[in-house]
Parts: sequence; C-alpha cells; structure tokens
Amino acid sequence: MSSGKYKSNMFRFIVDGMEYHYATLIVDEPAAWRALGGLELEIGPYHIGHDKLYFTDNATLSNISLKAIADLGKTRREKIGKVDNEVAARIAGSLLYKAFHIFFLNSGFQCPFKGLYYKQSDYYVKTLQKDEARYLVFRGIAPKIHARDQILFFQTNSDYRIEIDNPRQYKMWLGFLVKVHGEKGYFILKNLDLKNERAKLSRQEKEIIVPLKSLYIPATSVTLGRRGVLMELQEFSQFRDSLALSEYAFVDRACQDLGVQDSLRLPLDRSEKQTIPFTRCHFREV
Amino acid sequence: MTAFEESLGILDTPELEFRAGKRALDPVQGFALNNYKPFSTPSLEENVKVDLMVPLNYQKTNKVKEILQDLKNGWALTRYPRSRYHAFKDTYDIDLDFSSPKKYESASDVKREINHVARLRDKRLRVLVIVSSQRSEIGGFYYQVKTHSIPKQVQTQILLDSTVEKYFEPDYQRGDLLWNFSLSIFSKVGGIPWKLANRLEKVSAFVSLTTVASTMPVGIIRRKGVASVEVVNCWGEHLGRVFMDAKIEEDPVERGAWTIDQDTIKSLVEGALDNVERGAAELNKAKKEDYIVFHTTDRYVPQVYDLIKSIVSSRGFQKFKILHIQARGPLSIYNPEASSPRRAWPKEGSYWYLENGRIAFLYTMGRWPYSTIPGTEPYVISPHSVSPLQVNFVTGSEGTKLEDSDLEHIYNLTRLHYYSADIPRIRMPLTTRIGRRAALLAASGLTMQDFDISYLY
Repeated sequence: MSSGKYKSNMFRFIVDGMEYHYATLIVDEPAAWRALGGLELEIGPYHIGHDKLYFTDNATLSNISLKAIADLGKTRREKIGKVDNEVAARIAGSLLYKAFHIFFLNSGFQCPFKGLYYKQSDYYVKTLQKDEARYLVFRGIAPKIHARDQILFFQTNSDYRIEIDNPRQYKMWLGFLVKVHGEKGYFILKNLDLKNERAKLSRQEKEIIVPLKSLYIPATSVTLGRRGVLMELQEFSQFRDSLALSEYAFVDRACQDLGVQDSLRLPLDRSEKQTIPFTRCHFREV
Repeated sequence: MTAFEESLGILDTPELEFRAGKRALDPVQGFALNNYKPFSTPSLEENVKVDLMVPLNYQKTNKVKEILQDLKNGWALTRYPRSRYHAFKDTYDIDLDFSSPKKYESASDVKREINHVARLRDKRLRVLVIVSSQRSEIGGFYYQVKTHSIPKQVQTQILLDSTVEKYFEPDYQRGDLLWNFSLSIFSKVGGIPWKLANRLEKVSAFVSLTTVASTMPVGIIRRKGVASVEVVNCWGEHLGRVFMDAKIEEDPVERGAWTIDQDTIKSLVEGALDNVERGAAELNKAKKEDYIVFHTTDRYVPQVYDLIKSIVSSRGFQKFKILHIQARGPLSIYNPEASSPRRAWPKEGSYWYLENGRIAFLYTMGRWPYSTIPGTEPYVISPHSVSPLQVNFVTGSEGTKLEDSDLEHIYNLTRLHYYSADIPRIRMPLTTRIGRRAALLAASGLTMQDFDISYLY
C-alpha cells in the first residue's frame, strides 16, 4: 500500500528582487516581434508589450536587440529601468517561458509546436509509414508557469501530424478535409493537377485552385480514425505503450533528460549570471 | 535547496442510492456485487424492443447479435467479480426482445427507419441500435441521426464497429461493455439507475454554459456558433436547457477567451433562471440563501461574466458564483514508493489549492479509496494517465470564493453519468458533459430544446 506521500511535477521559485529592464519601443509591437523573432538564442529572453521591450540582461539591450529594432530604421529613444512586481506577473511569465524555451533548446530538445518540447528518440516520437502518408505522433514536455504564485509545472503535451512525402500521395486524399496555410477553416480536396502541382478545393459550393505546397492534411481525430491509425497513435500519446509506464514516469524521464531532479537553476541571461532557483514540491495526504 | 511539502485534502467518496434506500459507492458494486435494483424502474406493459440496424454488406452482424444475446442473458465468464454482468431482467426487472436486423446504406435509410418507429404506438418501448463504422464530427452521421431522432422522440443508440471488434478480443472483459450498454438502454426507456444519496448543500441549481463554434467565418473575425445553458438542481436532476445561435469571436488580446453578443447571453441566462425558478422547491430560499453555481469549460471575456452577474442580480438571486473547470489541470502527483504504478496515483477526491479561494486541483479519478469487495484491496485503475481537474473561481456575488463545497459538488456530479457503470473513471461533472453534448447537437442543426437528457447519448 502507498504511504500517502507523493512526488510532484510542481516546482516553486522564490525570488526577491528579480530585475527586469525595459526599453521604450518606437516601432509598433508586431514589427518589434518580427525583428527579434529569429534571434532568441542570441539575445536571451525578452518580452514585448505596452509599447516596451522588456528583458533581463543589460547586455542584451546594447548588443543585439536594439540593433535589430534599429535595423527597422525607426528607433528613437531608449529608457532603462526596473519593473516592480505588481506590473510583472504577465511580463515575468513571458520572460520565464522564453528563458525555458532557450533552456530546452540548449538541452538538446526540439520544439515542433508551441508548448511541446521533444527529443529525437523513440521515447518522444513515433512514426507510422503508410501508403498514403507518414503519420507522426509527438509526445513532449512543456513548462507551465503561474508567475503570480511563483509556481512551475512540467506538463506533458502531444500532437499528431500527417506528412505527405510525394505529391502523388494526394490522390489518396481526394474527398478528405484539407487546410491551406494562411486560410481559416477546412476545404474538401476535389481534384489534382499533378503536372502543375495544383489542387482544386471546394467549400460551400465555392471552388478554388491552390498550389499543392500550400496544402496540408490536418491530423484530426476523425481523419486519423478513417485511416485506421488513431488507436495506435493514441496508445503512444496517452502513455499506454510499452516504453512509458505512465504519464508521470514520462515527465520524470524528460526531467532527467533536462538534467532536473529536485531542483533546477534557470539562466535568465546569456552569461548565466542571473539564475532563478526552482525547488520541487512534494505532497502528503492529511 | 529543501523541497517544499504541501498538504493534500481528501473528499469523501459520494454515496449512491438504489431501490429501497440501499447505498453503494459505485454502480458496479451496487448491481454486480450486491444485486441491488435500480432506483426507479418504469412501468412498461411489454418487453423493451431493441431494433438493430447495420451497414449494408456489414460482415459482423452475427457478432452484434451475440453481443445483444449477452446483453439479455448475462455474461459471467470472468474471474473478476466487477466484470460479471447479470441477465438484463435480473437487474432491471425488464426483459428485451430483438427484431431481425435491418440494413442501411446511408443516413437517409436510418432516418426513414426513425420515421417508421416514430409512427408506432409502442415507440417509447423501443430503442434503435445502429452500428456505425466511425466516430463523427459535428454534422456527421452520429449527429445527423440524433438531430433527426430527438424531435421524433425515438431513442437511438450508436454502437461503434470498433467496440464490436474489441468485444471479441481474447482478454476483453465483456461485462464492462455490457453494463454500460444495459444502463444506456434502461435509461432510454425511462429508468433511473441510481441517484445521489445526499442532496448537494447550499445550492439551488447548477447552470453550465457552453459555446460551440463552427469552422465557418462570419465576416472577418466573427464565427457562427451555438451557445447553450443546461440547468440541473441540487440532486443533479435535469431542470431545463436553452440554446441558440450566437455570434462569437475570440478575443484578440486574451487568446482563447470568447466574446458572445449581449442579446444571446441575456436570453440564455434569463432562460436558465426561468428554469431555476420553476424547479425551486422554495423560491425564497433559492433566491436568498442558496447559491446558483455556473460551470463553464470555455473561457469568456470579462464583459460576458459582468453581464451574467448583472442579470442574475437583477432577478433577485443574491448568491451566485461562476466556476471555470479545466479538464486536465497541470498538477501531476505520484507515489514513487508504491507497490506498482497502478497504485501510485493519489486517491480520487484528493484536492489542493494553488491559490486559496481562487484556484484548486481536484482528482475526480485516481486510486480508489474503497474496496468493492470486503477484505480485498481497492480496485486499481490503469497506470497510464491520471490528472486532476483545475477549478478556477471566476467571479460571483460579494464575498464569494472557491470553497471545499464547490469541489465536493463537482466530485458528486461526476457520479451521475448514466451511460457508464465505471463512474470512478468519469472525469468531468454531469453539468459540463451534458451541456457540451447538447451544444454539439444544436450546432449540428437540432432546434428542439425541450427533451430529457436520456436522448443526449
């Protein structure tokens, strides 16, 4: 019988005086996101909001991030200061998520979708090769942060993907629901012009022709069910396969892969001078 | 660094009441082990007639017939007492008759059969069992059948081909399916298998609010959808429902939070409160002393909640709260010293507050704290994945906050899903389950609203 004591996936962080700095933005926020979007690993964690650029490392400001914004040709003044804790919950959460993103990538994890980190191993990814497509199921780990309560959870996440390797495979998807990159909603795949690599789609009596490369097959439960692969994929994503005893065992294994046991120190800057300590919580029945 | 230690509270397992005041902690314990009778059995002049429809060229019709025979005669070829299924008549005091299977090629054939059954004088004794090859999305086969049969008050039960397949696997515990199947048939002919042994205190009604968006845009950002409210009383009994088309949009700042047009919210909440007033035993108590508790699984922008608050207050209900229930909270706890992974989960009913009065985690599934057979260890659930609900206090009347009683209510309401005997495996409360199902049917074209919940599944 169990002793009523539990290990958890929850960590507390107690930080006094965590320093945030900000620079007032001149460019609009979307332009700033675009400018900094590809530089995360180089510049460290940052957050853009309320017309300001928030960051944790002074060096970040002078070296790369402002240069990236300056490259837009619209920079004017900058202001550096501390953000107090009342303003900080959302900003701190965002900065921590970004710090974890860098931490995961530096630990050898990949991020195919927002909120899902995995490694290239049988423990994290399963592939089913079929005539009509390659079916992928990812199960991964992600941080969930309650910055206001200074709490971190490592939680699991999963996703499916259908990959078409050869345009001729689309023939086997005629009549199925498809999506087009950048377009909302579903279409039905009506016809194919493989020579010109185009597809005819329909939705509510309207037909459109799009390039094949703009198409993808959404991996919905219904589609996967029709193809007879849903159960096998779910067995993996729901931790019913032979490699993982339970969701918890999976989290523990992923924590090991991250080098995390009962504590961790999250770097907040590139020089790793500023780190946030996290300590695992245990539970007991009362 | 020293690890933190947190305390985990545990709620009592809800008791269920069967016929003649007999009590048990779960239906299988009541029916399979203690031979209790259902709480209420409808008085029927004849046997229940199960009409079977299978797809054209279906190869497993004989297998389905075998399942139906087991449903009628019982199945006990197992060493697990929980999985022994008694003959239908022995448990429910009602017997089953079967007609020859009919074939269908498309949903139109099924609809024709529903029309035929609807014209029969004994239609309330009939349940049409339809074998289907796949689950369907909104507007698909399942929803077409339901939206056609509900207005005609014809009871239908979809049996998935994958279930038929699984039934004949060597290690499959057939009793598990047969208990679920039989409860569904029994509920659909007007039976009440069990009820909560104790009423839920300090509450006059629960109202679940659900939104289902279609994938089709209306204009640039708005989407067509359906918003729905489902109302149950302090025993978890259905009081009424309202649903209507709604223009909904996702808030551009707070991603995942919905805006619904004011007129729709007003009509829905007013309709819900009409049902609360009609169903209240003591209206004055309901308005002044007891709570109306809203359960939502969707998130809405603050303006939606403010409007609900103002409508409820203006109707004279002094105490109310709105709770958001997230099906899979992020907390995961596990006893690494347990004898096996299956015993490592926390007890069901365990709870913990992330923030007092505002956010809690509640394990509605988990390690059973009771044994159904005296002298044996509690049944253990599968080791794969057990996570708690996350219950968030959104807003409420002055001075309200999230309390233990709110968690106790939610835990109890998970026990009223009449389509599964394995209720300790039901994660979400009845309110949100039936609310979502009704909204999905409405989004599939159902316009009739005044039907009881036995038609929903």
